[in-house]
Amino acid sequence: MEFKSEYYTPWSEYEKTNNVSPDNADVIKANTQTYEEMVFDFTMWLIM
Amino acid sequence: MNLKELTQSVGELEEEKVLEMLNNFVASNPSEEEAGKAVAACQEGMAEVGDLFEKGEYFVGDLIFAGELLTEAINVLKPVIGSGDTTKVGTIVLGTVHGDLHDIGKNIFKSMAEAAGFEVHDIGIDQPVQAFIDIVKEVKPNIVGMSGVLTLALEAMKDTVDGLKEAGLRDSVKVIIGGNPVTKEACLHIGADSFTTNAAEGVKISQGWVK
Amino acid sequence: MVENAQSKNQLFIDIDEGKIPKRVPVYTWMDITYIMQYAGVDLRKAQWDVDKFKDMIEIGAKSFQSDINPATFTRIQPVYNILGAQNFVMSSEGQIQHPEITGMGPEDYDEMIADPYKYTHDKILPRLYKNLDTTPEEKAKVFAKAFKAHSDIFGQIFAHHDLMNEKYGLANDRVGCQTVAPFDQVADQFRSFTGISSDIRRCPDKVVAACEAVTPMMLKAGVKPHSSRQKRTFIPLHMAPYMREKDFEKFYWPTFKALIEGLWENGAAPLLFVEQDWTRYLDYLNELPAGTQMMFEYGDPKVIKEKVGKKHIVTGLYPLTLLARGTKQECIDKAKEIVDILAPGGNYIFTFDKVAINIKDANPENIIAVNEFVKEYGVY
Ligand code: B12
Repeated sequence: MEFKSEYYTPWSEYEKTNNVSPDNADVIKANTQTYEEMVFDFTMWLIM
Repeated sequence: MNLKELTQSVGELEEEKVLEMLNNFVASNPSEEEAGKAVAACQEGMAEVGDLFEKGEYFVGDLIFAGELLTEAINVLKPVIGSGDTTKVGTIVLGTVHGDLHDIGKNIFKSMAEAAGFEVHDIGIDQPVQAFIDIVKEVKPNIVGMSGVLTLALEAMKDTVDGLKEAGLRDSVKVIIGGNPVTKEACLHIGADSFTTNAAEGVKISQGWVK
Repeated sequence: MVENAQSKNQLFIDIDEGKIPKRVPVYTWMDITYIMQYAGVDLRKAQWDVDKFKDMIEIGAKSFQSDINPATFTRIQPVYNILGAQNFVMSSEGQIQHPEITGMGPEDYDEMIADPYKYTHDKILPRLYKNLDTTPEEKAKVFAKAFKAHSDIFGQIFAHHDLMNEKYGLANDRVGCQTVAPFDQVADQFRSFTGISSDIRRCPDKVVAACEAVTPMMLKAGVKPHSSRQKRTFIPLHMAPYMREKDFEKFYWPTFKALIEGLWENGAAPLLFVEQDWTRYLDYLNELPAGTQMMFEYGDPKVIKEKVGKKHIVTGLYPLTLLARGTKQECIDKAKEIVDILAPGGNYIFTFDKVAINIKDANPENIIAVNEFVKEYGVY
């Protein structure tokens, strides 16, 4: 049951399209993907 | 048109069938009297819906749909009903008390009461005590219905009954309260004549009062 | 026994691990509006005054004898105002409420089903929030403002909650995040209570497909990195009691069950608020994975204990309305009656049947008396 949407960028896709260097992937993920998730959470709050 | 079948189809909430029957009926150029009978048959169907609800075979969702179906049915019949006044069995003033904005339950009670032949003056949601007083003075109803979903509505209902008392109007009306938080104890505290969390029962109680 | 945060946390951990705790844990739920009125401030002002939210959290923490801070923030007025909310508005007395509103027309099922999250942004949000119903540029600006406000305000709230738990020796907050049953999601703010009631008759297949389509989104909403048995996923349940059983079986249950199982599989533990009367559905609830917490509004406590209380954590059923006008003794007698039925064998947390949202809902003195009583009486 995977969540997919045109408006949601999972990390795997972000990695591909944003030249993420494998060496720094951890810190880059922690400081970018977090905000995608926050927008998702906020959106859910708006409809609950 | 077979009126029994119409009543039954309304009771069973067969939307397509009801609308097809009524459209054919209207196309046959019926007299006003015949149209009146069709309306009555639909209303009987609504009463059946109420009975099934009380028996626990239908639930609130079914009541909502029944209300919509009845509105659609009357809309189809409108061109042939004419202006002939239908007899009113009584008048109800209905509103959601101050502090509460909910109206799904109130609207269900409204459509069932109308189907049972009551004239209902719905004053809307979050209504101050004075609004109830003003409309009671204006239309002199038999019954005042108050609705609310939040617990805080109970105190607002009490304010409203007290307000009616102070305005000298309390003895001229019966008061019924409905909505999730109402209980027997709350009814006593508020000083209403009756309470229910069941719209169909509310219609029966109201009918008992105007007999 | 001297109690502190650790011993209070242990009460809940024991329950979560299927052990009998030292005593019945006490968990009172209040919307922050109740606490604002208790503190004597006007709701119409206090709900804007984010600076003072901290004071309210502290008052919640120290005042009501609950093992967990009752103070809950869900409806944040500044954010709603920035967005021009139509779905949550203040009543004349300041209580924020939800008028019946439709975020999705019946003709939109296919579009929603194709991508619920995209549809939410494109269509639902501008209908629920009128300041988003504008040009894309302006919409982005309003959304950014509201997002920032939401994240700042909740950031402060959470941090202060932790601080107050420490200061007053309370157990940790038990709710980590929220989601909603798929059918309820399609109902509440998309099609509305009335809209969905017609849809299940007019376009039943679309409703089924819609519930299936939103399920992955609802699952995602309910799983967070910190999810655990002690940081649960709150799920308020709405429509089931208003449906026929055969409709429930077809429309509500399959995706709801899938959601709950999915949460457990992903390390999240659900806390269901079983609103209204679910007596007809107790056997279904018993099918859910063990250890699901269920807070009941109505029903016969004996029957509920018997049918779901062995496998699941039962809470609720204490009538909040009694606390408004009952005498102290009446309130305590009722607590004794309920604890006697629900506490034996463990798997029980003491809560009321409704969230207290307005000071008229319950006399604070009665809340304190009842909570103190349960702590003393409910010792195993
Ligand atoms: C659905 C629902 C929602 C939906 C509303 C969706 C919508 N489109 O309206 C959503 C998710 C938005 C929602 C939000 C909230 N809710 Co809510 N919600 C409910 C729920 C489950 C059902 C309410 C409802 O609409 N019932 C359907 C109608 C048809 O039922 P009814 O009003 O009882 O009417 C029937 C009869 O009583 C009768 N009747 C009604 N009026 C009248 C009048 C007369 C004269 C007569 C004769 C008969 C009659 O006829 C009807 C049919 O038989 C209740 C639980 C409950 N037990 O009621 C909680 C409940 C009302 N919610 C509650 C809360 C706390 C909230 C929130 C504040 C939660 C939060 N913190 O965000 C918010 C926002 C505030 C608000 N309520 O607006 C609490 C209120 C507690 C309290 N202290 O008052 C409840 C009681 C849940 C609980 N157990 O705590 N909610």
